[in-house]
Formats: sequence, C-alpha cells, structure tokens
Amino acid sequence: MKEYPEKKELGLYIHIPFCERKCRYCSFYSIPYDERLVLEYCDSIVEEIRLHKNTIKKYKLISLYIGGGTPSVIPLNILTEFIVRIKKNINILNKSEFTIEVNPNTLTERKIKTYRELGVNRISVGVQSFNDTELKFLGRIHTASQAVDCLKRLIKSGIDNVSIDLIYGIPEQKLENWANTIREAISYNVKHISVYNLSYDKGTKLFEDLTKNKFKKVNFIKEEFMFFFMLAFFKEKGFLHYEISSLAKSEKYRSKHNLNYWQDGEYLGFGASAHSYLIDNKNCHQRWGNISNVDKYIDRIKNNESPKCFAETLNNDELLREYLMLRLRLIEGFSLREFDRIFGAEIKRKLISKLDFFIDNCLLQESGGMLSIPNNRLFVSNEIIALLLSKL
Amino acid sequence: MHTARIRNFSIIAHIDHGKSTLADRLLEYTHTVPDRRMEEQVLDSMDLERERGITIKSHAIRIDYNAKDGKSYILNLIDTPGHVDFTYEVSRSLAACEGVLLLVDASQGIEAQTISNLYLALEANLTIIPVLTKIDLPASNTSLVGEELCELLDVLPDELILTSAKEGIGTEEILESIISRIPPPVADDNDKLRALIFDSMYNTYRGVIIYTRVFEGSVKAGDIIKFFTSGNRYEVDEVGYLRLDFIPAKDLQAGEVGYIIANIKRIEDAKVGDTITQAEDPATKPLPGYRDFKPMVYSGLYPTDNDDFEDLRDALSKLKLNDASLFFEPETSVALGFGFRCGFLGMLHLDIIKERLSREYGMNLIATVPNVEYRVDLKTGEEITIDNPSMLPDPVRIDAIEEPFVEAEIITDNEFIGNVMQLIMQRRGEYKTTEYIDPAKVMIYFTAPLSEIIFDFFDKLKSITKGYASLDYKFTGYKPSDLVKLDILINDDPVDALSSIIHRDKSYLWGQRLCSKLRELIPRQLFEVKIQAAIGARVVSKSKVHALRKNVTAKCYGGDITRKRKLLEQQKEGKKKMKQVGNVSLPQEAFFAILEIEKV
Repeated sequence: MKEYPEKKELGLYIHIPFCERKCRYCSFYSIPYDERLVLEYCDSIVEEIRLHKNTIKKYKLISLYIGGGTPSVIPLNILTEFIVRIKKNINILNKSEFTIEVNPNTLTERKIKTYRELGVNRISVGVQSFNDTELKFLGRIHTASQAVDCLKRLIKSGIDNVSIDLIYGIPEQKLENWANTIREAISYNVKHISVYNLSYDKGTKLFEDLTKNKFKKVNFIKEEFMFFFMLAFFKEKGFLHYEISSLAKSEKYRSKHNLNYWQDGEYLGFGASAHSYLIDNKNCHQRWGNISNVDKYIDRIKNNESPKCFAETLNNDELLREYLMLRLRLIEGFSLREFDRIFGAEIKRKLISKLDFFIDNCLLQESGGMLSIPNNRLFVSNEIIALLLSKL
Repeated sequence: MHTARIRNFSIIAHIDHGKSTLADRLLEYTHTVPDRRMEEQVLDSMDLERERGITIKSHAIRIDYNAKDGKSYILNLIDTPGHVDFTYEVSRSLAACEGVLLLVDASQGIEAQTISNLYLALEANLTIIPVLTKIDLPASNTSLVGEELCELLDVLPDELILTSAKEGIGTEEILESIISRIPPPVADDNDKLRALIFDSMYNTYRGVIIYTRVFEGSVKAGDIIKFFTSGNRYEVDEVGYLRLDFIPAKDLQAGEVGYIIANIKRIEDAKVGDTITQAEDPATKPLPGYRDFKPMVYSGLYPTDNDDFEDLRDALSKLKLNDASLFFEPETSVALGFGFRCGFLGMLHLDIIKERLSREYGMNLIATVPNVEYRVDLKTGEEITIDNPSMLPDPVRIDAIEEPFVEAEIITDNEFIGNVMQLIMQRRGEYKTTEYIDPAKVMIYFTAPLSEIIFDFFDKLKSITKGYASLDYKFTGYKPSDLVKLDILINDDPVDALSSIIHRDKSYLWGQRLCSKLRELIPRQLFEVKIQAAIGARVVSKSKVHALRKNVTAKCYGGDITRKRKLLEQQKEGKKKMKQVGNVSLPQEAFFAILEIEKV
C-alpha cells in the first residue's frame, strides 16, 4: 500500500475591519462600514487567497476564522458570495473549525441560518458584559438584553459551539456585577468563554481618556481577585481552563484556531492588518503582517503588489522567546521532550540548569515531563516568562 | 630639521573653557587637518568625548606652521583633559612640553582647575602664555578677567592674548607667540637616546603604539630599544609623527614628539612615564618619570550574569590598554558572585569606564557603591587597607579606622560664602582660610574627608552657588575618623555589595534615607521585598516593596505575535540588567542608591 506523508496543518484567518462604531478600548484596526468599500475589499481578499492557493493546497486546513472588526455587519448577500468564492479556491473540510465573530445586536435568525448553510460551525459573540453601565463605558453598541436575546436565538438555531467574550477590570466595575456577568454567562449553554482583562492600549480613546484622568483604573488587587474568582467559578461549573484567558466546556470545545497560534502552528491571514506564519521548505520560520489600511490594501492587491508591511525570518533566539511566551500561556505548559527536540540538547540543558530557582520559588511547576506556570501565578505570567528568558 | 624650529606645547584650562575648540582653530588655520575631515573637537576621537564635550584622553598632533619670519616650524600640540579626575593625564602631557597656553574663559574667569593646572605647569618649569577665550560672548568681562590673570601671572596686559576661537580671533597671534615665547627644546642628537613615554594606545593590528617625546639621541626603525623599568627589549618597527593618522618618518630626533611601534603586545611593557633608550648603547639614567598615580575611588564591577565574568575581564583588560590609570583585580561578593574591584581617578572616570563597558563591549553590569580606601588599625597592632566596605573587620577587632583627607579650594562669588561654609561643615570639612581674588571673587581653602568630597559634593556646590563655583582638591593623607559600617539586608540577608562605611553621626539618618530610596528603586516583583538598614546587629530602619500583582497579556489572539514578543523582549532586557540576589532582582541603580540620598 502506498503511504502518503501526512499533510501539515494550517489555520486561516480573514480580517473584516469594518464596524458600525469603534469601541472605546479597541486597538485593532477598524473603519466604519461602507458598502462600496466592502465589495472591493472582499474582491481583494479573494484575490489574495487565490495567490496563496498552491501553498494552501499542501496543507490540511484545520480552521477558518473570520474575525474583525465586526464580520456580522456584512450583508448576507455579499458574505454569501464572498464565502462561495473563497471555497472555490480552498478546500474547507466539514470537520474544520469555521468561526465567525458577531456582535449581539446584528445577529438575526436569518443570519444564523445563512452562516450555518455556508459552513460556519462556531460563533463567537462579543458579549463583553451583561451590565449596561459597563457596556456603555466600553463604548459597545449593544445592550445587555440584546446579548441575552442573541444567545437565546443561538440556542434555538441549533448551533452547538458558541463562544462568548467577557471583559473584567472595567473602571467602577463592582465585584457583584462581575459575579452577575459570569453567572449569566453560563445560563445560555455556551461552550467556550474568553475572558479578557481590560487593557489600555495606546491610540485608543480609552487610553486617551485615562491620561486625561477621566476615570480611575481598577486596582491590581481587585483585578487579581476578579480573575481568580472567575476561574474558580467556571471550573466549578465544569469548564476546562486551558489557556490563560480561555475556558472550554470540554476538550473538544477548545478553540482549534487559537490553539494553533499557541502551539507554534502555521497560519495564513488575509486582509488588511492580518498576520501570517509559515515554516517554509528550508525550515525557515517566516512571519509577516499586511498593511493596516483598507484602501492601500485594495490598491496593492489591484496593482499586483505585495500587501505585506513587514516580514521577518525568526532566528533561534526569537523562536525560543515565542515558544516560551506562547506555550506558557497554555495551562498544560509544554513538554520538555518536545523542547529538546525543537531547540536541541544544549539549550535544554541551560533551561534545566535554571529551573531549580523557578521551581523552588513556585514560579514554574513540572509534572509528567510538562513544564507550566502554576495556577496561582498566572496573573504574573509575563513577569515569570521574562525572568526565565533573561536567564537563557 | 633643527630643534630651533620645533615647539612642544600643551593647552591647559578649566573644564569647558574652550580648549578643544581652540585646538580645532589652530589645526584649521594651519591646514593640519584636511577640510573634509575637520569636525568639532577633531582631536577627541572617542564618541563619549564628543558627546560629553570633554577630553578624556590626552592627544597629540603635529602642526606645520609657516611663521611671519618666513621660516617654517613644527609645533607639537598635546591636548590635555580638563576635569579634576584627569589631573594625572595632564601632568603626563606637560612633561613632554616646553610651554603651555593657559586658557581662561572671559565669561567665567579664573577657576579652580585653572589654578591647579597652573601649578602643574610651574612645577614642570614651563613657559606660560596666558590666553583669554570667548571674548565675543556677551557675558564676557574681558578687562576684569584680564586684569586678574595678569595679576596672577605677574605679566603685562600686552602679554595677554585675546581670542575667540568660535570667531577665529587671535589664532595667528597665538601661533606667533608660541614661536616667539616658548623656547625650542634643548637637545643633542648625539647623546644617548632618552625618550619619555607620555601616552600609549593599543591597536589590534600593530600592538602598543607609544606616544613619546625624545629628549636626547634619536630612534629609527630597526633600532633595538630597551625600557628602563622592565628592561625588556624590542625591535622598532616604525617611527613617525602624529597627524590625525600616524605618518611614518625616517627617525625621531631629540626634541621631537612622535610615535614608536615595536610589536609590543602588552601595554604593561610600555608603561607611561617610563624612559626608552637604545639597548646596545643605553643611557645611564632614566628621565624623571611620574609619581605612580593612586586610584581615589573604588567600586566593584559585576556582570549581571555570572557567566559573563570572563567577558568582563577581557573588556577591562582591553580598556586598560588605552587607560593606564584603570586598576582592577578579581573579587567575589556573596550577593553578586564573581566580579572585579576597580580603582578610578574619580567619579567621572568611573562613569566613563562603566559607559564604555556597556557601549563598546555590550556588558550588563552592576557597579557597587563607590568608596574610598580605608586604613584600619587592628587591636593586634596590625594595619590593613581595605578598598571594599564589606571587608571591614568586626568592630571589636578594630582600634581605629583612618580615612583619606584632602585639601580643597573653592572659587566662588563672595555672596555665596555663607552657603559654601555651611556645606563644608555638613561634609565634615574644616575651614582654613579665605582669599579675595578680587572684590567679588573669593577662594576658600579647607580640608575634608575625601569621601565627603568625591561623590556629590560638586553637584551640591553648584546648586548652592547658582553654578558660580569651581572646586579642586588634592589628597594629603590619612586621619582617623569615627566610622561605622552600614549594612543593607534584603529579605533578611545582608547584601555585601550594598554596605557602606560612613560617619557614626550620620549613620542613623542615612540608614533611613537609604531604605526609602531603595524602596523607590527596586521594582515590584514576584515576591515581597523587605529592606532593612543595620549597623552591626542593630536595625536602624526598614521598609518594604510589595509583591507584583499583575503582569499578564490579556489578549493574545489574531496571530499578531511579533508585537507581543517585542514587548516581552523589552521586559527581558530590563531583567537582564538586574542582578539576582536570592530571589530578588535588584536594578543597577539600587547599588548606587547611597549616592542619590540627601547627605545632610
């Protein structure tokens, strides 16, 4: 019998940078919705995918993720044609994870139905909070009751894999409100929850208002409490905490697409400001990012120019840094054997020689050949990773 | 060329009085440096020198000048550093000259280093040409400063040269007076060779390059030379004179200044101040050399990562090649591991070495609190010297501790006398006398412990006199003082590298201030950090840094890994600069905290 070498796995990401309104805290690239522009943009993405068609063929597609922005602002007729054209170029398997991000206020029953027909099998809802005051502070366009309605519609629709995003550490957020939000979150049979700590990124309205002292940040002690309280609560309800900010109802509901990022998997991103990571046939690890401007992106694709705005080939040091940074986000951590295989005996020896300090001081733990950050130290994980890197 | 046509001179001045700018003008005027290579401070080849606008090393260059008398002359200019730390380098340069230009900034007047450099020049029996610079500045008081200068030097006003190096005024007059007033070297080519090494540098390809002044005899390629001190012999590869580059010449004759290359691999073999002679036909006596310099400030330099110890040794050895005044020997610290105890001429010198190590050799370093050298009389009658506070023996074994003292002088406006007196007292100084240089300007003489003067005294002095003060000092000897060792404990463990020796009367207050300063400087980390200051077993102060609560990247999706990795890289680099002591990471600044506290 003829044996075929197993195909490598690949994730695909499509960035839809259009929003009805920009949220106060959002640092991702997005612009207001504009139908003419959306049409041109979708054409460009199809073209960009076409350019990578032959590369994609060599892989087994494990996920397709349409993120944003707000992909759900795209009218169904446009989206349908867009997906159909994409599918002509690439082979999305039925068992591939196919996610679309949606905003609670724009998700109608018809939309859900169409998404299912197009092959979407996972929906990620940007709920953020079940408290209207907090939603208003964040500059979200939807209300808590719209979020509830949306989740109820999803249950009815039969889409099994629903994920929601929540944000904590919102200024003036009371502990009881946070408790309410997480209690509410599990009332709608969601399978996956991403919990983010509100961050103040430069360039956002939120950051600007912070520097103008329009509000006070939540103090670290409270944020830390919110984080651990949330973990304890969800775990008690049977959720599996598998990554710093991600929980899943069971192993099969872990986000395949995101796991791929954290596990050094390859992926291609299409559209303005999308990022890609490929290991080429010379075993060079290539990362690149597209230009963060829709007009320029469209122009470049039209003119047969590369939409990249940066590209790098990772050296061993950078690979090591990324590996530790990403792997130690996973609760299970990484296997020392795999580390040895990737980075070689010398670096492994160095790692081992520095481990005592970290293990003695409960900054890392080792169990069954896996090295990970202990649960109670997750909130200072960057500090631990940076310290570890400084020793290697 | 006959020695009658040679002039060897130096420029001396208080720091910032325009020495390097004047040198630039002389080089420009005589076309010594091609226009395309001319830049500001052209003689200062180290980046650090240009950035800080100071001269650290002395430099030499040969100038050809066609004088008004129709003859051409060779002028050898030896540039000197102006900062008090580098007095040693100045005296080295002066030994190679017959005369000096004494520069005084017309907007600043006579300053402390003007006086001390003048002493050095008089000691070396050199002809002094007074030059008033920056006469074009609006703030200049040319006539008053000119009068002061004439009075100081006992010269007539017309012997004073007025210049503005920026405007190029007076350049020719200076060149002419160098020829008319500075005597040519007295020399005889037929005598046995005696050449003074006044500086040296290390070149990776050619080995040690000796900067020398030939006093008697001559030297050429192929000669076998011998050093008086070591007795080592070398065959001369090349001799020549100094432009911006090395210009090979047939020989170097008596009276000339130039360089010698002789395949010398170790800088120690060509000691600055040593005399070179011909091996086959040696002179009987060396030239008067220099007194051996003594480091004034000691500090431990430790790599933040112990694995870099050998790299640090390597880097220090390389720096020493071009800086004979740097002293270092290995030492160990319980807290910091393996490192080097280094001796420096002063704080600026220490600063420069630290910066060169980090900039030119990429070293991540911890420098411990600088200190002076102490003498300790033990009850056994033994006397020991310590250059590291943590080596201070148990107080019960000590009979007395002696510390170095200096004689110092401050020049300032008389309106600040009160402030200055107060500062002197606070620094355990003993006032001697005051002299009026003119009705508004005074010179205050006092003695004080070196440790009180050498660190932040000058900054303090500047701030209490609105910048109108200059300081100079020289070491006089050791005297007993009531000193104690102040220890710092981090999480209950003493950190030897943070210990300091201070006067008993100040110990309590310093302990408190040091603790709160450390609390500011030590960043929050994964554990709570307890800081205590103790004298012997008695804790005099404590404070604490709370544990870090949060450092986590909330969002990490979308595949944009690069930005996050770079953030982490920055954090990592920050950590690399810190030293792990127990489970605490101490930043470099923490080891210098004691310099940052209010000393009074």
